[in-house]
Amino acid sequence: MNQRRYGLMFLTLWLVGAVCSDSLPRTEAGFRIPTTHPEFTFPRDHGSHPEFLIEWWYITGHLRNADNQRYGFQATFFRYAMTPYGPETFAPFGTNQLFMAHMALSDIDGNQFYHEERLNRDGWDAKADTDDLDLRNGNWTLRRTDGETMELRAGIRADIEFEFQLQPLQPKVFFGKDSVSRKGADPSACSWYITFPRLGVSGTLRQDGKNIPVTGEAWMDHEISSSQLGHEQVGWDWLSVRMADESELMVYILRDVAGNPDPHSTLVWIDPAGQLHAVGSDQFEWSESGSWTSPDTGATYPIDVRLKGVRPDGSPFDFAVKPLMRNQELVGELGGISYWEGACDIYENDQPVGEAYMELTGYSESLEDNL
Amino acid sequence: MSTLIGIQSVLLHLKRFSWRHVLKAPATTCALLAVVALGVAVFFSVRLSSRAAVSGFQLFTQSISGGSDFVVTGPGNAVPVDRLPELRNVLDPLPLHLLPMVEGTATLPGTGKAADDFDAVQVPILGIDLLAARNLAYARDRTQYQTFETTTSDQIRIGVANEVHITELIAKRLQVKPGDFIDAVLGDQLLHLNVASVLITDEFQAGKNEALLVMDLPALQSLLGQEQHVDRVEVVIPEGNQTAALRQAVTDRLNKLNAAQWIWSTTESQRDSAQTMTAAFRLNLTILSALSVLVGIYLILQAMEAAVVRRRSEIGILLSMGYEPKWIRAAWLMESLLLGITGSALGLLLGWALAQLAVRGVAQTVNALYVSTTAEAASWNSGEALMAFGIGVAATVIAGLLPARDAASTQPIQVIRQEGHNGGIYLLDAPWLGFVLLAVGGLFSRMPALDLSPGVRLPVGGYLAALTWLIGAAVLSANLLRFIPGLFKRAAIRGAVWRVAVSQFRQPSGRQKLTVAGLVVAVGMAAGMEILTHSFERTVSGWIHQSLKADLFVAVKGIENASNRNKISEATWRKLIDDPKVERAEVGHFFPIELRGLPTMLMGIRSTQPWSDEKLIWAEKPVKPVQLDRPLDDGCTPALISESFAVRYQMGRGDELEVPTPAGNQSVRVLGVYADYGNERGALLMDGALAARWFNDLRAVNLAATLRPGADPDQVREQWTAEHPGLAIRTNRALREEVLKIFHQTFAVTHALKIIGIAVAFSGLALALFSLLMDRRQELVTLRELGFQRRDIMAAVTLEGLLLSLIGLVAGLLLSLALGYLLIYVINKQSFGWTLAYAVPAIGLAVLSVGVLLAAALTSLGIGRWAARLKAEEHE
Repeated sequence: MNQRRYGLMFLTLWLVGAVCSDSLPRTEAGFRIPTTHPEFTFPRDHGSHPEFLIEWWYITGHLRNADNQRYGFQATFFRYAMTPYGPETFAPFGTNQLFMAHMALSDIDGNQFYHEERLNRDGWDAKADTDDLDLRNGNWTLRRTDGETMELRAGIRADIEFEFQLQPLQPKVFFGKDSVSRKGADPSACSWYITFPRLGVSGTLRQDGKNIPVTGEAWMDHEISSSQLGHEQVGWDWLSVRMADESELMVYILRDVAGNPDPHSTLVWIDPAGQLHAVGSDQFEWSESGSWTSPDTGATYPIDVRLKGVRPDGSPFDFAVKPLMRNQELVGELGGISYWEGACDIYENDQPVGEAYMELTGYSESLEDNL
Repeated sequence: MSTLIGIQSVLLHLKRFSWRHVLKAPATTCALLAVVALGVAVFFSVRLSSRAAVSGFQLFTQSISGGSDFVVTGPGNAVPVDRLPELRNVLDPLPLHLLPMVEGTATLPGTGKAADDFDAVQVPILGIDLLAARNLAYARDRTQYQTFETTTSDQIRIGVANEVHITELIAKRLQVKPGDFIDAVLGDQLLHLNVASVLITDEFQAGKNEALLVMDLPALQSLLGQEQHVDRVEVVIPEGNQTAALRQAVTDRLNKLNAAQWIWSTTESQRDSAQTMTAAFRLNLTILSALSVLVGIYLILQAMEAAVVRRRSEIGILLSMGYEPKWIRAAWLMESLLLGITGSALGLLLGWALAQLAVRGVAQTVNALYVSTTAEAASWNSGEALMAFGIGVAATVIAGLLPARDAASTQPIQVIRQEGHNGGIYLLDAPWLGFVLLAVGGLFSRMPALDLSPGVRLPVGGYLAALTWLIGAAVLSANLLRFIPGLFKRAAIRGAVWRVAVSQFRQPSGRQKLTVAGLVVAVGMAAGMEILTHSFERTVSGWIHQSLKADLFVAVKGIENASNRNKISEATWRKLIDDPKVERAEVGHFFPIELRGLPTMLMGIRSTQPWSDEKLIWAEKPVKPVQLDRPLDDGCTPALISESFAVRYQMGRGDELEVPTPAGNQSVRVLGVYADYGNERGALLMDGALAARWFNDLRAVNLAATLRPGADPDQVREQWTAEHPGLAIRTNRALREEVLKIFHQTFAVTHALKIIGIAVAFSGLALALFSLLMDRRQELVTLRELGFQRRDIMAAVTLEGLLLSLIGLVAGLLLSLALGYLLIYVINKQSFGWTLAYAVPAIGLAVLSVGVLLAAALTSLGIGRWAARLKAEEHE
């Protein structure tokens, strides 16, 4: 039906600009390409970078209430630039940026998955501040409040509301060699990838008219790029794990049309001190152990996964990634991209060793044209 | 057992008696069915079309996704865009979709007789954030996810200046498809718009029967020259288990908004307000349409009576065979019931078809007077259908009661002796009742209007007075018949034909009385409406003469639509008034405002020379000459109010009021009340420059220019039209003609009803004469045997019919003078607050009288010819 419409629409609206006169590398359309050794300045660089084509702020986390009932949540704010050259004055109904946002809540014990998408133009009701972390899409907001503490206020239709305080428990890290995360052979397929691997979450979840105090931990990515996939790539599998031993793990597999991993696929260990240890796709193994077919989109997602490799200390690991719910698919009604993003637990030798969120994209259609 | 026998008898009667006559006289049966069907059809179609016209008023989101929950706007129906975040902040973090809207009116040239003609099709054009509208997909049930769906994909783009999305109805009417271009006049510009898509009707429910254009909001803002504000913000609460709680939370938050800057209401109350605003108008239409049912009853009564007369011999035989009168009565009532059911069912079908034709006319009136409506077709409504069907069946059964009683009381011996039967209504025999009714009607006419809701008045007393006077006049005129022999004594000496004709009134039969009563009602109502329209026309002509004195009148196209928000840009009107050929000009800035919860209009007049009030007709004259551009000593702003405004808000000279504006509340003092027939919402007239400042909007709605001596208005008009194709520029003469044309269009439905009423009355006359002569067929045979030629009989019958009609005409004309008084001074004044000068249309009434007499002569002649050939034993 209209799955592709908005993806296509974004493309048609990306106006081709003249190449800038500065020496910074840019795409043909004039968008900046991330460069090595960026000199980030915070909190400014927690904010928006409109000279890049695509940017997102991505939070996924696990929560528990006082009765130890479990929830998973996802809050994503996307920004797409339609032109690399913003207007000189603010327009209440602008056409320079599109803002998409996804909210999802997995009520594990209730076996309910709630999600909603938003699509707005830059202007009076959607924005991404360029000086600080201050994002809005309708009534959904993500702001830096104090230090690096953040406040997320959002909801899903009239069913769910949440207001969370997010406090870094680990320092932020920058993925990629020289702080540039490569996604493919094409030099422009890369990103600046800033992550808070462990955030303490506290706040209130409102469900069925009841305020439920919750606490938990989350992972937050802030990724800035002008091209996320190389040629021939159709999607990716991504996993973030907060291990019980205070370390974290992030892995992504970039898949080509045949389903083979791209050499730029990466697995990164983060130790409690924030030190990164990255290995290439030849040093770990991601395999499917079970799948789930969406009744909405018909896409089959390999949601049961085994991940094998070697720890930084040289000891081997063999993780079983087990989703806490089968149906955690976000049906792309507005953005045209359907994907599975869900709360999982990590088992090793049948023992839980960590909490994870897994993202599986490109299973309903290729993302090559969209990102 | 006896009940069973009774039922069997009735069924047998129906089969052998009624059905046989249906087969024997199919034309009569069809005519009867047609009468019932027509009455029901007129009623049903008027109800359906007025319902459609009002329901066509709806907010955009109702069309695309089941409706918004709240509507927020500001003074002058404008929300400055820089205040939109304030609204979001007040409502944060509630999960609401806020949809700013801009609404305009597009004139589609080429769809009417001429581009600047009032007939050119005008459709609402809505500006909405095309992306934000998509988010409603998640606000509604998952099964209704798809919103704003179009016929082909990849067509919804933002940031494109000239793309328009159209409903299927528009696509069909203009014969266009995506990729084609259409011309549309918007604001003061003629635009060439690219049809980006056709909105799918399954998703876009309103599009099925409605003409709408949709554009991306900033594009429409730019075209309308209102980049700084939107018209309203619609608030949509997403569905979910907390919807009710959210609704309450939104109400609480909105109550915290500054009431001087924000106006909000629930969508239901908006819809109710549109319903209430048009309630009086729709009730008027319903009452007029109910008349068709009334005349239907009258006709059926006449026709059933005629049928009783025709079948009297059979009834006599049945009675002599031992049939009980109650079975006869039951059988006749059953026949009426069947007639009612069949006729009403046909009426529903016919009515539905008529409604499709009527809806655009009704919608046009609703558009002009009340709110914007997009209705173009009336949908079937089972509730209305059931009501019309019930009324049709009940009316037919009621009409059949009297003939059923007559049939049951027919004595066999009376039939065998071929005696006449004095049918009719006994009430018509009581002249005292007529006087009592006239007196009661007089009391009703003094009743004040009933306040249905603030600003909506229903002249209940006026309607009751009209009804009692109609019945009273009918009763009295029926009793006038007995004076005919005395009045025509001398004429009767002249010959046998006169004597025979006049002698029929010595002891007027019930049927004669009923006939004359019907004629009186029909003529009274027709002539009464004639008086109203004539008075209206005379008053409006005088008003036009007084107020339209400039040489050229400039407005954006489609300005006659009450909801039209298109305006002339400041650059354009300044260019026009600076034209060296212009001696003086007045520029009108109109702003819709809401006072005491009721919509009304603030009119600012900007004049290039000192403004003078000489063009106004006063209902309450100011104490001294008015200078609108100077504040009063106490700091108040001087203003004048229209008569409708004065009635609506119960205000007059010297009163002070607070006007809400984007610049805050402003104190205004009323210096005088002027007559205005433009709209019934009323208007507050003040200095234009100040009004434009208050509302931060320098665009104008109209402009009147007086040219320097020697300048040719037609030439200037041509020049301006060429320079500004989006403007409707009319010369003084053309505008006067247009105003009168609209005026006549408004009364078109009145004329149609008038003609229907007269036609029905003459059908009644024909049926009555036919029944009378059937009763008297033995007498006609005797006359023939006494040497009366066929032409003599024909002449006597014609004369009888003419005399009946003459009495009906004279009494009807007298009645019309009283009804005219009621319509002008009570009903119209109470409904609209317009003062009209009573004027009797001598020519119009003369034409009506001649028409009535001619119709009477032709009808009577036809029946006379038939009577002249009638044989004693002939039944039909």
